[in-house]
Amino acid sequence: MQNAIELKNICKSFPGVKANDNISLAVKRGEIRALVGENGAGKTTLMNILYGLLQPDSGTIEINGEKCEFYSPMDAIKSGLGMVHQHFMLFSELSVVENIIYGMEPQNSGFIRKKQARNEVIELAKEYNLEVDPDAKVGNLPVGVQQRVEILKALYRKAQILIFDEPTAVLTPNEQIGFFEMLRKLAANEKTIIFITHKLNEVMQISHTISVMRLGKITAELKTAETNTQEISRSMVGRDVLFDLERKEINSDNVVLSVENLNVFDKNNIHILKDINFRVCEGEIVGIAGVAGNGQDELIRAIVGLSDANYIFGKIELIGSQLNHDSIKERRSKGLSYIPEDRNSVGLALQATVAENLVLGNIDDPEITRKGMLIKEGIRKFSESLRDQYLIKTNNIDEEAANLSGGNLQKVVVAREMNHQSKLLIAEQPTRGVDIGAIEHIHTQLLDHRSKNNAVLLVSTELSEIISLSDRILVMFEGQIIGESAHDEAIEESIGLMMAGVIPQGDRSNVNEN
Amino acid sequence: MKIRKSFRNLTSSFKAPVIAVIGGLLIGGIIMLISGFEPFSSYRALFDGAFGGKNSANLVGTLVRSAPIIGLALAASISFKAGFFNIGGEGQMVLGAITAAIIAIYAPFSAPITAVLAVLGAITVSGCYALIGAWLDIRFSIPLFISTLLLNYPANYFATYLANHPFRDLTTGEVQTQRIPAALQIPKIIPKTQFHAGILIIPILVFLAAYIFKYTKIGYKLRMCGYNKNFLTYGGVNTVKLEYGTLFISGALAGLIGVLEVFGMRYRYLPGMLTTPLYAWTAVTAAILANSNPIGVLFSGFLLAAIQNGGYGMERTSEVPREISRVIQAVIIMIVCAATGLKRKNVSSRKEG
Repeated sequence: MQNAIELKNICKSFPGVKANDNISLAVKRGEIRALVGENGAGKTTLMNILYGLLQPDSGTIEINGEKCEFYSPMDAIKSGLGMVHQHFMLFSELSVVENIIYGMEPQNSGFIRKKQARNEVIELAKEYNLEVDPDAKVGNLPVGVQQRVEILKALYRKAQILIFDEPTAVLTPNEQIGFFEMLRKLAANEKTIIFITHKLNEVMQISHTISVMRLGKITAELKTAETNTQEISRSMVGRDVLFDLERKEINSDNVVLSVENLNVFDKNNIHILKDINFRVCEGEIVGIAGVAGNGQDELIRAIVGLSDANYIFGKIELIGSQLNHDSIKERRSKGLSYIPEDRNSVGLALQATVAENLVLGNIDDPEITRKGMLIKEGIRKFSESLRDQYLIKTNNIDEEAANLSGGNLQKVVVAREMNHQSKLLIAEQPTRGVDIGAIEHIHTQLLDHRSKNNAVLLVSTELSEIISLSDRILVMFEGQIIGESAHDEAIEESIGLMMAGVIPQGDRSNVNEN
Repeated sequence: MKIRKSFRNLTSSFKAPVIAVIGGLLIGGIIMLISGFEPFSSYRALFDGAFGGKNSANLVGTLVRSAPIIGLALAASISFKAGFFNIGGEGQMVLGAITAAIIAIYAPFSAPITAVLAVLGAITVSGCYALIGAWLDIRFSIPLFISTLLLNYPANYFATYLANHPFRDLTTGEVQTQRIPAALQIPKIIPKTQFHAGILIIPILVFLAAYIFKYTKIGYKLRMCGYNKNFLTYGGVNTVKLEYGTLFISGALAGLIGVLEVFGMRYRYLPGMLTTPLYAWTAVTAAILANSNPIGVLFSGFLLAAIQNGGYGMERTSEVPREISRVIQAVIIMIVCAATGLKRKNVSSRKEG
């Protein structure tokens, strides 16, 4: 069969990096191709070239055997390409139909033929089994549905080839199952699919073939049926990666964090957290699973002290001392450190230097400041030791943090927070957007923290991460903890159901009694 | 190597302002041509008005004019650098000036005590006035640049009222306060000019601020706050306190500049003495031009004072209206803003790639 896409010898350099180094890639019609690789491997650059957002320095693109040159996404769309970006390109104030037809409106002497457009969209949705309410305002839809709108938008533009950039990052496990079914259906309809990801279990589940990229080159072309995650990750990282991390058996009853009858309201008096009860003991990692936006944020903000104490009811205790009205500083000195979800807008000051980012929590230490003066030498020693210990890749600790890659920035946050050796570490999406090598490193650090008899509260929308690290898992749904499961009985499927609000057996009263 | 690197940093941070100045002069020249003036001789007149004159009298004049501009630009920079946009320097300065004038005229103490009281009173009033903006921001999320901007007006009108009614000097018939006692007047140090000893405080304050930003813990906190306030809050620093503190210092410094103008220049308060020359707005411009760098405002403040003073000179000798100098100033600002905007855009697009 003819190849739907054929890239030949694509090269693209940016100042200082060869992002794509002589890449050739061929994908057959109806094939689902996974494109995997660490951050900075050049996946996104390659896809941007294919989609006309970037022009290659050399090399050719052929679509259905025809040589093409794309100078903008409009050219690519004309050749039958569609791209679903990681961050959706939708107008949240417009309806589903309006979003889908945007730029391609069926017209009658300058007027949009709304009825026709609406019918076309409904047809299309039916054809591919992509359920959406055509009149709903996009901003009100859950992300899974917004993604469907993006796909419909591409299909409406007659896309034969669909590129997905990390499509599952925003989905719940159940939405993921639906998404995969949709992909299979699209492939069965002769659509060609390329999807970028770094989650290997997904690759194994859904793709037909796999291209692995590393440092701007394709390092492996694999058939999914004939490979395994070990082989893929070896090609990605260039060495073996530990997946099953060792965990020491610890059984301690010493409570580090206890949350009792916690209720939180927002400024409009909406009840956000409802009767939250749980404990985290020494040597324990408690994972909080849940789809983003089910109250995890508010829970963590209440514990850390970032939200207005007047709207918080109930008791939060750290090692037996009540926190409710403590400042963040007091909480930190009582033994709390925190890896925030949003490293760019909370966890770091990107325009500051790496060293300035590392010393934040230690700014009162006698080796960092004395009598209000910064001690240059002490800051340098401190930051260099953290840099070496946590393998932060930077030539110079006085470099602007913005120059570091995402994985290294996350290591800066992790290094700073872990260095406090606090009794309680709260880690919120600690590995979001970082590559496999860094994930492994961060996971090892978290387990290491646990094995030193500390407590870890882990919040992640990445179910596999929660399951592989946690001793106990709490599932949050609509502001409540609706289920709990221990490490050995953690089954992805049942947790996935709970994340969607389905309580398996028993009722929630036994959950609250723990 | 280190020297070369710091030199490169220095040149790169000067690049935009230098291009901006050249661009401003070019466009100003084009406008002169269009309006039928001869640009070269006009610029000569401008240059002369800024730096020339008998015994460099105009240069001294420019220095005298630059003092309040640099001082207020420093006050603005301190708050800008910490991410708080206090543009209420004018009102804060006016309140400082009238407070100091009233204390100086009516306090029944010896001169040194009165001087200390006047300065303390002025910086307290100005600092507290700036706190209103901080409070509105913290309590009601009213953006600082709006509240501080609007607070300029009540401060001005209130000071005018005080000078016009309760504390008016009835002997002169003008709307102004009485003269402050001679013992409190800051002596001139360059004879036959307005250059008074108080001006010398300005560079000291500039270097002090630069030192604090670079070498102290509070400076670290302020810089981090300017980069990312959430980051600092998250790290356990009380950013509410920091905001109040910064606004107080910024306001107090503006008040101090007002005191210098009263004690060193006019020896009384008269409405308009601080607002008509647009010191505060030129100062905001200077602070932006210097990217809120304390040392930088020394140059940008002087430059803007030179353009303004030069504009007067140009008007006197060549009939070119001094508004042309305002045009030059405006073009400079636009080019600098465009350069900063472009730089930011480049950084973000590089990150996405």
